[in-house]
Order: sequence, then C-alpha cells, then structure tokens
Amino acid sequence: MFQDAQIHGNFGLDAQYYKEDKTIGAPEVKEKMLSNGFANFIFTTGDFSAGARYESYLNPLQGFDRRYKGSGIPYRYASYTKDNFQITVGNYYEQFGSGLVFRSYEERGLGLDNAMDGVRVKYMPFRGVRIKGVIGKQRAFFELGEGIVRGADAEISLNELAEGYWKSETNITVGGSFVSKYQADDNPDYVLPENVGAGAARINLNRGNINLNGEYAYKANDPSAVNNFNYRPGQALLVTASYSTMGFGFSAGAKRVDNMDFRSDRNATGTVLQMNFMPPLTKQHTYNLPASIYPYATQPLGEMSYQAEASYNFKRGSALGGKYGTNIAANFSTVYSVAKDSLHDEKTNRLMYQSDFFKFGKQLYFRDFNVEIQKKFNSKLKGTFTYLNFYYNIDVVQGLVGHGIAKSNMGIADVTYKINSKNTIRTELQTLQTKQDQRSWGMGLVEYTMAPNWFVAVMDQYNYNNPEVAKRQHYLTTTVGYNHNTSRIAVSYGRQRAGIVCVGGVCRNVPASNGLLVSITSSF
Amino acid sequence: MKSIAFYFSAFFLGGLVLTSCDIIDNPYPASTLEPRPTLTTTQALDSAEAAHDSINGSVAPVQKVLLEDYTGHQCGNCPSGAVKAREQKALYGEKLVVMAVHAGYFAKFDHAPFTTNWTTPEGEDWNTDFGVAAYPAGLVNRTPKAGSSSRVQGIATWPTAIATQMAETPQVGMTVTTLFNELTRKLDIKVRSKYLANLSGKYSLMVVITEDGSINWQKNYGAAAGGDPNYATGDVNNYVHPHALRRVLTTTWGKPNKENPVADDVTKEYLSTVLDNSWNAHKCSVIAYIVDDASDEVIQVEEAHVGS
Repeated sequence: MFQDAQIHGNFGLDAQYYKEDKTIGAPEVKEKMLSNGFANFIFTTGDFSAGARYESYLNPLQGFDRRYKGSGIPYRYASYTKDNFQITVGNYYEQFGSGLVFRSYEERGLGLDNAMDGVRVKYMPFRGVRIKGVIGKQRAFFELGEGIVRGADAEISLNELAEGYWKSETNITVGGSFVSKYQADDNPDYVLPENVGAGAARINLNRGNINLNGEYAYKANDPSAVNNFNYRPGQALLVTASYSTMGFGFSAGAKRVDNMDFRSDRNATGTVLQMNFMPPLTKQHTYNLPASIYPYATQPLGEMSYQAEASYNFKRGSALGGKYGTNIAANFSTVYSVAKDSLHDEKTNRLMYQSDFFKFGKQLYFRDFNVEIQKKFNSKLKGTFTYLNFYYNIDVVQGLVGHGIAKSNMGIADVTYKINSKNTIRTELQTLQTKQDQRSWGMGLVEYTMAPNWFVAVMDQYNYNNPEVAKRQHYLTTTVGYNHNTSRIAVSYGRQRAGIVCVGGVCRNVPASNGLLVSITSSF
Repeated sequence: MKSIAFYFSAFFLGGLVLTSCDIIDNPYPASTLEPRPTLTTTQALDSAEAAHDSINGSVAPVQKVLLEDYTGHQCGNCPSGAVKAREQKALYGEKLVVMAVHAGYFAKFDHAPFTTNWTTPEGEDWNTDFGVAAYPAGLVNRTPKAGSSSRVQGIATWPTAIATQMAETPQVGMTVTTLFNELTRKLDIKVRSKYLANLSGKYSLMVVITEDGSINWQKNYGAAAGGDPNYATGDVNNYVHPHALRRVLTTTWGKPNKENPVADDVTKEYLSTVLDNSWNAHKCSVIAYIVDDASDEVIQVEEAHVGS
C-alpha cells in the first residue's frame, strides 16, 4: 500500500550563549543560554501527504517574542488530491494574489507565523480555472487567535480557458478574492463590526517581453487597536510593469496603501495575527549596512510609494564590457505619507479623515537611490560595487519619537578572488556616511571558503563617528562553518548590534548581544 | 462541466460576499441619549500606544539619563548651567533628559521684575533634601558625585557624571504616551515600564510636566561671571527659560511602581492633568522616571512631548 511512501523533513537549531556587555547595551540574560529549534516531518504516499512541525523555544532567543516560550507541535496537517480537487485539514499556508487581503505565511527569522488551522479546498474544475477556499483560525504563538477567517479566491487564465487563445502572444490572467473575519463584539463603548470583509481584484498581462501586473483591494470598516478604532474603509493598489530584452531589463511600480492593517484579532499589535501582506516597493538590500542600519518597514496604515529599476549588461568585448562583460543596475524608490484631510468626527462616525486617492502626502518616509556594478576582471577575480543614497524617517519607520531623519551615503565593495577550484576568498568593505542619528559606520568582512566543506569568516562593524565616544564600538564576529551534504553547522562568536531586522518590509527589533551562537540546519 | 464550475464558484464567493461583512454607519451604541462617548481614556491611550508599536514589540530600550538643573531667575550665575545642559543635550540628544528645577533663595518671586512663580512644592523639597546650597547645581540620575556622598554636582562634573550614567545597562524600558485636548487642555498620560532584569527592593515612578522656551526675566552676570554670553548682562527680560519644571503629578518621592521586579514585569500607570492656561502646551513635555527607593537613584527616564 505504501510502496511509494516517502518521509522528508528538515531541522534547525539556533542556540546562543549570552554574556552581558554594558558597552554595547547587551543586557544580562538570566538563563545564560537561549535556543530556538524546530523540525519538520512530511510523509507522502501517492496523492496523500501529512506532516507536523515540532518547535521548541527554551527560552526564545533575545529579540523574539517571549510568548513563544515553551515547546509543542503547533503545525500539523493532512492533505490529499483527487480529480483536480485538493483538501487540506489542519495547518496550512496560503496566499491570494499578491497578498493584499490574505497571506498566511511563516518568516522564521522574524518570529512570524500566522499559519491557518482549519480546512482548505483547492479545485480546478477545468483547465485555466483555479478556485481556492479557506476557513480557520490563525496561529498566535502556541495558541490560536480569537477570530475566524474565511476566504475564497478564483483565478482564470483566459489563454488556457479558450482554445482559440492558446497560441496567442498575449497572456491574460484575472483573479478575484474575498476574505472575511469574524470576531465577537465585546466592547461596550462601540458598535463593532463582527464580520469584516475585504475583497481584491487582479490582472496579469504578458506579451512578449512586457509584463503588467495590477491588484486593487478594498477592506470594509475594520476598527482596531492599531488604527485607533478608525471606521474608514481600507484600500490598496499595487501596479507593476516590467520589460526585458537581451542584456537590458526595466521595471517600475507604484503602490498606495491606506488603512490596510488587517488582523484576525482587532486587539492584536506587532506582527501578531496579521491576515494580509503589503508587498514592499523598495529594494530589499542584502549587504550588511543598508540592510541592517536603515531597513524600510512597510506602513500598513498609509503610504504612497513608487519604484523604478533598470539594468544593462555591457557585452563582452565592448569598451565598458571588457573581456568578461559588465552589468550595471540602478534602482530608485520613494515612499511618502498618504494625504489626509481630517474630518474631526471622532465623536460621530469615526471615519477620521478624507484622502484623495492619487495624492501624495507631504511627509517623506523613505527614499533610496542605488547603483550596482558587477564586473569580472579575470578568471579569478570578480567584484560588485554599490553606491547607495538613503533618506530615512526614523520616527515613522521605526515607530520612535524624536529621532528625526537620517540622510546617508553608502559605498560597498564586494570582491571575490578564486585561488583555485576549491579555495575562494571574498572580502566586503562597506561605509555608511551620515551626519545624523548614530553618525557614520564602517564594515569589513573577510570570508575564506574551502569547498565543499569548510568556511571561515571574520566581520566587523564599527560605529567610528558616533557623537558619544563611548558608543564608538567595534562589533566583531567570527564564524566557522562546516557543510556536509544537506547539513550545516556554524559557530559564531562576537557582538550583535541593537537594531531592527526586516524581511519583505516586515520588521522586528533585535537587542544588542554578545556571545556564542551555534546554528545547525539539516534536511533529509 | 463548465456550468458546475461556474455555480460552484459563484455560490462560494457570493455566499461569502452576502454574509460576511457588517457595515457600521454609527460606531456608537444608539441606546444612550447622553453625548456619545469616545474611547475611555485608558482605551484611547492604549490605542495611541499600539499605533506607535508598528514593529514587533517595543523598541530595544536604551539607557537615558536625567539631569536636574537647580536654578533660579534671580541667580545671575545660573544661565551657565543652562548653557552646559544645552551643550550636553546637543551631544546626547534625546538620551539626555533635562529638567530645570527652580528652587531656593534665588527662585523667590517677591519683587519686580522677578514676580513669576517658577517654583513647585516638590522642587523645594528636593532642593532641601538633597542639600543644594550653591547655584547652578545639578543632579545626574540622583547618583552620588564621584568620591563623595553628596549627589549635588557643580556644572564642571556634569559631563563625566552623564557619560558614566549613559554607559549603564538599562534596567527598565519605558514608554510615555500622551493625549492632549486643545479645547479643555486636559492631558492624559500613560507610562508603561518594562523591567528588563531581576531587581530587589522597591521602585517608584515619578511623572512631571516641564515647559521649554518660556520667555521671562532672568538675572544674567555675563560670560565671565557664569552667565550666558548670548544675553545682555543684568536683568534680562527676554530670557528663554529651558525645560522648566512646572508640575509634579506624583508625590515628592513618587508613586510605588513595583517591589522586587523580575525581568519582563510590566507596569502601566495612567495619569491626567489640566495644563495651566499660561503654559505653552506645545512646548510642554512629560518626563517619567523610575527611582530606586533604597538609594533614591534614577534608573531610567523617558520624555514625551505633549501631543506626540
């Protein structure tokens, strides 16, 4: 019966030993050692699959929500597929369109997991039509949120649907989704909507090298703790376009978000029980200084943003391309507030404000201009060189008061030298120059890889220009890692700067720390 | 087959649309004939606090330092204290919280042109209890001066004392949220304090109102004698008084906040006051600080501008 049965899974553990370090504000950790661990086990046979995830936070690492404290099996499911019909019971992750009205997902690095616990049905009645239906409650740490989430999504590929359009050069896909949450009204001061609905419509148009995407979402009155019990409906619009041809690519996008914080519990804050996701329209940087000092956090209560990016590959043998070719990419993005005219109706309708849909607010939240050049110099040496210019509204993006604006320039040189087929050395030099906030930073990294097993890296961040002399600290970290097949173990020792970590515009705080971190990942 | 799919999706989607959304035209219960209630004060403060909490949890706490500048409008040396405080504030920004306590002989308001009462009963108590005898003088987190049992420090030692206190590991993270009604001038305040370590003893919360930038008389001896060189020498009528303590909302020695707190203990305190008509509300701030009852030392301080 189970001749084709398979079991797959993966495992991860981060365990850190902490020591107090007053010079960087790293607090004493009374447990001395903290750990986050998990293991997934997935069983499949034929059209059936089932799985479970064990998680353990003893106690949660610094910077993760303390409510994770403990161990358990918060994720388990069973699923089978039959005749274009798939049913899942238990936990599942799902997304409708780009996520403007519904996205259930896990981002382990953020401590974010809003998995659904309930039933999901997927049905493809015939080619080109895909329907999904979900119902359940969302995960909140080791419990479930109070609200019940119901939703449905339908997507139709017109080209697949109509035989005559199969060979058309223009591909059109349209979709629509509707999500509703139920939470009892137990508030004596307000008449609260117990059922809150949100809908979205989307279209994707593709012809040759051109791709156009658009999604509009509308959310009915959804007063909550985060929006100060504002009854104004929420709206979001996301439009992106891209064009690519041999050696050249261009993309542009625009987004408006207004009062779109959507949760299955109206009293939840932070990243807890979020039902939707606002895709970021700013470049998601990976280099250390731009990614860790001034990362942009999406503002679901209101933002207007646009982005454009172009890249060009200078051919081999051309003046700028040289022997191996050169790639240049430039990116610009900016985020403003939403224009608001106050209605002064806090004691009547509580719609709070009016807003012209296409009007930008006066407050600039974030602006990023960056240019990246990738160049291979010879068969052994290659490099990536980046310049970035940021405008960063610390108060708005990080929810602080009195920090103001940080305008910064950054330069990054990432150079890799391949000694031979097994040994590679990579260095990064980064600088962040600003006259505000903590002033300027420098960062250096040397990474030596002995393929296929070993790597060792030394990294230092230095806040060399901090106006407080005592804060001009080095954040030195050394890492040694060993890879074997699908397993990896890495040991790091050093300091971690206090700041925020963001993934896809969703962020969490990380306090300063000093100590030894052991990370193990494995899959089978 | 096509019709089955159509009816399936139409039924599913249509059913959701029709049944799963309540539109509320009137947010307030209709039964009451009284004026419609707004959020209760505590709910409004909780909401305002939550709206700031846009990223996961509160912000990683940093150690802040309270500088109390004991001064008086008849004290011609005292503007040098304000100058020193301004220099330090420029260096540390919001991590340094300054409070000018007008108290003692030079704060008397018994003859022209020094007729404005800048004093507070609590400020006078502190002035006496801490033994402030010469002005300007300061207290830095109310910690003893290096090598002395006295907490009172002349301006020369402020920078070292402030730097020393800045390097301490924060024991408490504080959030101060304010809601101000322009019409009634009622100021509602929420102070949330989260203890970050296990501590022994009793801890009290102090909450005060300060006003910055009020223009009034000040005696100024000039730069050479400890005055402010930016002003004329003598009795100056356009002196900008910085960070003046206006009112203490708790008692002189604070309101009990927590006994033997352990890490992650959170306390919430809600307070209200009506700002005096003569104060510029938009220049007022709320300063909250936690005091170790055993040592009288300040272990953390937070400041929020009214309406922010």
